[in-house]
Amino acid sequence: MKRRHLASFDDEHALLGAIARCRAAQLDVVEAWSPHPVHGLDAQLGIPRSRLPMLAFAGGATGLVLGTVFQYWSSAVDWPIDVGGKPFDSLPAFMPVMFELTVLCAGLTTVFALLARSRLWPGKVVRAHPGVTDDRFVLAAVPRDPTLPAHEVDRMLLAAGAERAWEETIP
Amino acid sequence: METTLVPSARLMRVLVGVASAGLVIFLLGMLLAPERTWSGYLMGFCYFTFVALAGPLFLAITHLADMRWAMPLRAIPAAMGATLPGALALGVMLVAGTHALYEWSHASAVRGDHLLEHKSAWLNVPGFALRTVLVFVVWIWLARKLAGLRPLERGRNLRVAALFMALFALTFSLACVDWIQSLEPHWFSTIFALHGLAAVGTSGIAVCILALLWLRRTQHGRELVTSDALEDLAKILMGLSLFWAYIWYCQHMIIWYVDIPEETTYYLAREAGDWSTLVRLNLFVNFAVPFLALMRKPWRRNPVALGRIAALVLVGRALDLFVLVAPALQGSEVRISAWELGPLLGAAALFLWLFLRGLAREPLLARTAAHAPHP
Repeated sequence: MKRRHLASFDDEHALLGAIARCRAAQLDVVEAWSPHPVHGLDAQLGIPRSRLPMLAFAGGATGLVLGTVFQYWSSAVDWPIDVGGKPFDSLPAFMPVMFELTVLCAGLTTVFALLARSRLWPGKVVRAHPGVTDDRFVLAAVPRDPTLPAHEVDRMLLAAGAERAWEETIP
Repeated sequence: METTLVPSARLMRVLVGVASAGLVIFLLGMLLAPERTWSGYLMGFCYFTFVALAGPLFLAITHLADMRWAMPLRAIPAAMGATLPGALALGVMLVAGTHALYEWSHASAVRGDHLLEHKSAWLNVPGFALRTVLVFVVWIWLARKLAGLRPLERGRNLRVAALFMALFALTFSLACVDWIQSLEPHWFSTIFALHGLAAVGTSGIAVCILALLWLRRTQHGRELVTSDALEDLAKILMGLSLFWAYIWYCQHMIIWYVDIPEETTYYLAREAGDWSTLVRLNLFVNFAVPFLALMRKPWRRNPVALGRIAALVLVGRALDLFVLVAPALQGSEVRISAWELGPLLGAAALFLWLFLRGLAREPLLARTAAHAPHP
């Protein structure tokens, strides 16, 4: 059982401002949630650059190669069919499938990589913080001094600009 | 806090100089090589008009999509739209060039040509002149209204923005057909205006990026236009370049696949001789470079790299127009000379001069608007 303190804010500027103030008050900000991407939040939280784009690129490149090779093999090598007198290996005709497979494979790779990395799967119950998918910005903080009483941590979070602060236990 | 950027007197003198040189070359060309000069003039006119139109288009999108992050920067698209009267002046002049540019304007060419006779109800000089003026009246009127909107009057803003979008879609499609597509009056493409729209979007966002980079020379500008904001704009530029390539390919692919003689003439003319090199260069500069270069995150966030890419895209837009316009008039031989480049550069300089003058007149950033309360 781990304990952490949550604090909610009503705009992104308040959230960003509070992170530095929490640090100064000996609170480690371990996580943050927001309804939309907040500029500068990754840097403030010290999150290293995501490797997701590399995976998406690899997925897209795989799709592109698959789409090209399969179409070339099927229409020019294995079963050539004369369509309107065009050459069997017509690149312009292959392009829509090449494009679609690139997008599809890049997209699916991104989705599944994200699910795997976030340890999400169908049926898993995740407790979302109220408002965080709508108009609330929430951060989770852990005091560096574990003996600090809970109400004291909440008071510090409120002083840092939170509109609400509470303690939660995570299994 | 307000920031106003005043361009240096030297820059403005250079721009006036280039625009005047363009005018002199244009006037000389009228005597020496009227057809080629008019083709350069048409490119210059379209280049100017497309960039200027991006202004009201971005403003309308800003209001329709409630892009509050873009509200403090709305002086930039407003200044782009404020140059439209200059484009109207060029458009009025263009009517004088219809005989040099458009086959359908010659009664002798139309007579006996079934298709041209059929199309003459639309493609005739009085109609062309009337439509050219009319579309500009609509654009200038709505561009002024859009530039004057206050961020907080949400209901009225939405109505003006939606009205612009509806009228813009119609007028811009027809204008693209009139000005460019009718250079080859037997040929048609229903996707043609989307090609023009992609040109408006890419050239407009490239100009916005350069203006914002310029704005970053001030303290307040650096606070507002962070590297995160630059990266977002870079992604929009990348997306629009991809959109342009997508539309280019869609038109090419359908015509290539169906292979009807009256449609393939367009691409046969552009695959003959050196035109095929220019078409490939066009795809390289307008698609491959921005798409691949902007994939690199450090370059999206680096003002110098992003500025260079945006500048290259603006050069690429001229090349795209050249491949759209010139093959219809020059035949199989590619000819690039002062007659084509003079009016094109002159019009670009005139746009930049009007744009910078407009920017200097108004405070660039209205800080109050950045933190407007939620409606």
